[in-house]
Amino acid sequence: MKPVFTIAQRELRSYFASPIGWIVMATFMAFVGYFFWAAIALAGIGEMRMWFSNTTIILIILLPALTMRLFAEERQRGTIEVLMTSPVTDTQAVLGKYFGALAFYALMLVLTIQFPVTIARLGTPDRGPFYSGYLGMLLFGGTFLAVGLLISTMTKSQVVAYVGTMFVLLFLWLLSWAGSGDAWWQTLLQYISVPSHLDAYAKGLIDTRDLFFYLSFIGGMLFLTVRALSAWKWR
Amino acid sequence: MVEVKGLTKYYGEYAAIEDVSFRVEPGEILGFLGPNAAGKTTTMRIIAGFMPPTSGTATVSGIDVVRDSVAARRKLGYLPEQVPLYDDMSVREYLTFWAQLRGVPRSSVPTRVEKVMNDTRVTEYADALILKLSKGFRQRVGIAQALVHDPELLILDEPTVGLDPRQIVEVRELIRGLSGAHTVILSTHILPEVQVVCDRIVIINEGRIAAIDTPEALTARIQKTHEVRMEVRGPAQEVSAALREIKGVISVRADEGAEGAKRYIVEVERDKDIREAAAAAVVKKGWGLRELSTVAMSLEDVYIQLTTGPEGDDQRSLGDGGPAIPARRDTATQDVSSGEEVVSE
Amino acid sequence: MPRIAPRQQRTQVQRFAAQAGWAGAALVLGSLLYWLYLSSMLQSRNWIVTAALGVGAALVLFFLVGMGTVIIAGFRSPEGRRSVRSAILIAAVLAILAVANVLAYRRHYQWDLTGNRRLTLAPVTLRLLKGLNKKIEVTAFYSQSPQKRWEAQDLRKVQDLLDQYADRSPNFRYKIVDYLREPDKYASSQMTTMPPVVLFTSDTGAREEVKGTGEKDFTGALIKLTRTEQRHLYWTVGHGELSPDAMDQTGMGEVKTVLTEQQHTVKTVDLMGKERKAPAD
Repeated sequence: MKPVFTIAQRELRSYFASPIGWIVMATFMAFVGYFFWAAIALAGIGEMRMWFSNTTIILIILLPALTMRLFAEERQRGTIEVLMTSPVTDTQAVLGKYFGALAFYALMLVLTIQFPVTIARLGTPDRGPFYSGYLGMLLFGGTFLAVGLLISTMTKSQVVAYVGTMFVLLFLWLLSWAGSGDAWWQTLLQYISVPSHLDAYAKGLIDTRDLFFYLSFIGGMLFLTVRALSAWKWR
Repeated sequence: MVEVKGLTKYYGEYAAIEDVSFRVEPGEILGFLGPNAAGKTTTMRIIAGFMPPTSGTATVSGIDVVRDSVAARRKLGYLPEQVPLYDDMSVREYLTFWAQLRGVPRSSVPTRVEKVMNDTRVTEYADALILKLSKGFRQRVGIAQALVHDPELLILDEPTVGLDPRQIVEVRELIRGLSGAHTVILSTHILPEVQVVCDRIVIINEGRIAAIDTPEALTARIQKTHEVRMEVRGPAQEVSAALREIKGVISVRADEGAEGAKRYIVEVERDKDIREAAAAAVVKKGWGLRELSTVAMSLEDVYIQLTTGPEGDDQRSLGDGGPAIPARRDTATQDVSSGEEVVSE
Repeated sequence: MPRIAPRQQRTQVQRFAAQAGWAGAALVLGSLLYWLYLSSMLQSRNWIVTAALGVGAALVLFFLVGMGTVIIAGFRSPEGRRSVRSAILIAAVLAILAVANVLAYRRHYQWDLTGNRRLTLAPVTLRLLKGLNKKIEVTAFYSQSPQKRWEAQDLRKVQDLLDQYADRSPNFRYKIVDYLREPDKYASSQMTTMPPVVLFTSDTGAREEVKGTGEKDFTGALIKLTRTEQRHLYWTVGHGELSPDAMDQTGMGEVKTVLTEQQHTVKTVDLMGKERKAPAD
């Protein structure tokens, strides 16, 4: 497992060394800051629920920017040759890159803790939903990152990776709309749509169903990524 | 140390390499020689574990590179041709990363990194961003990365391309210094390089092996004739005729020369030294002899011969007792008269 | 010249079939997406879309038939076999994940982090929902307009609570109706209470209107709707007992009213009258 950590560390550092990491971070803070201010100042809401759901929309545009370079850039530059001839398994490489991106995203979330802290200062909110909400956000973003990683394996061009990821995320998002209704296939679609599983967490409930969904979705995506990598090698 | 048997790689219906087999002994430096798209890089990538072959096997230190890929990779260091590096790291960070990833024990990482930076003479740029380095330094960092975990086998794809002459010499010395303790496979299309650096050469062309041997043995095998170069002032036709009459001379070709004085390339049977006879013949006829020297057939000739053939032929190998030798095809040369054609046998 | 292994020639038909395959797949995918997303909003399936689906399917079929031999040969080759094995592995893993998810769905736990654990239902409610075999439809008449900020907050509470109820029983369903946007729906439901109000109805036609927003209010309504025993209370008359029908001070009319509200039916029986035995129910 040490190679995973080494690779993750490198990816995390690399986000700070390139403009992309900073741009994503800054854009994120700008938008979520506005959402928070709008919620508090305009609507007088003393909880984070609405902020959580607004933020998820922003993630559709921002998170692909984090994942687009993970494998696409390596392929484009040729550095993947050096990586793949080192004693690192495909799985370790995939996990390392994933956790690097996840760590950066977690950092982004940590920076927003000032918001619930502010609410706590201004009133006496129910704190439980804050904790579960952040956990949900972490898992939610983790899903997006896993999708982005998979798509980044499939192309040499970072732009294609970005756009492709965004479209897939949008598609997954829209599934929750198509799934409103009671038909069995609609319920299925609802279940697969990633946003639907955040609701419980935003409310303050940690539901094992959603936990299970997130973990198996992420696990499934990472598995597919490893397969995609070996498929590329074996072409 | 490395054993390759029947390695074949197809991309769809295009065969990049076919039935490639050779061995590399521990401690030796093996050169891979061949034109572009001959299959050098493909073979090296397969040995390094980057891609699997369509058929055939390759082992590094007894470990199969397909079945135990990770274990095999632990024993080798690889530098691809384009020297791809992580531009966003400093040299030290970069080398530390690879040291850690390749299993260098944590406590020895800093010392290993220092040592390898010293060996490749990049220490003064240790904390510089790789993005800012010149091509020569990037190359050295690339070699450093391949060395940082002290691997038994080094695979270097065109390690001196793009360097200036002084750097080339340094790199070659570095590689030579590695032999014995390390085994090296390097590929190149610079012929003098293999002669200077390598213990043995594999010549590969169009995906198949054309020859495997030491440089000297190769030239010896090919060489059935050698050439004598002369500059004579005198009537061209008569000079050629006179030279041709000397015993042992196979053919005479005339170059452009100054007014009245032409350069002649005389092809002579291998073991005959006609220099004195030629000098005597020229002097006897009263012509001016300006230059007389022997030109040994170079490895370049071997290479060209093995990788190209008379028009229409695909390729040649040394297995069948030696090819017929066409005279050098040099477009600047003219035959003296239309009757003097390229001679063989 | 690079060495090239002998190449199979593709016939005209096969090449056309290959292109048809792409076109067909695109049509099928496009019409499915359209049907999935837009038709649910438009409530109609355009005949164009159905036609596109049909044509697309036909093209795909043509592709399969025309390229059949090539496809099969592709599967037989070593690369083909490897991809098939890989595909099977992937399908297996996804199937396992799907099954695991289904199982996790059945058996799930919730940790309630809210203050006072307000989203956790009381055991009474849980028992009720578990054994619920009538279909209960709930309509919450609440407005989401910005003028009624307090109402919106209440609505959130109500909705969260109803979500928890709906989660526990497939027979419990709810919907939100904004009475300001759709006043006719409110009017047509013959409500006697002013909005915001929550209406509970069961499939036997019984209704309860609930003004409160707490669990005890909702569960109370549920109890009323699901009381299976319609206890028939028989009032003996004919011996000078107080009559249940009289609403004045001599009668037990009010008692009857209360009892009826609680879904008991009150009937009178004259023990000394024509029917000599006690009624069957």
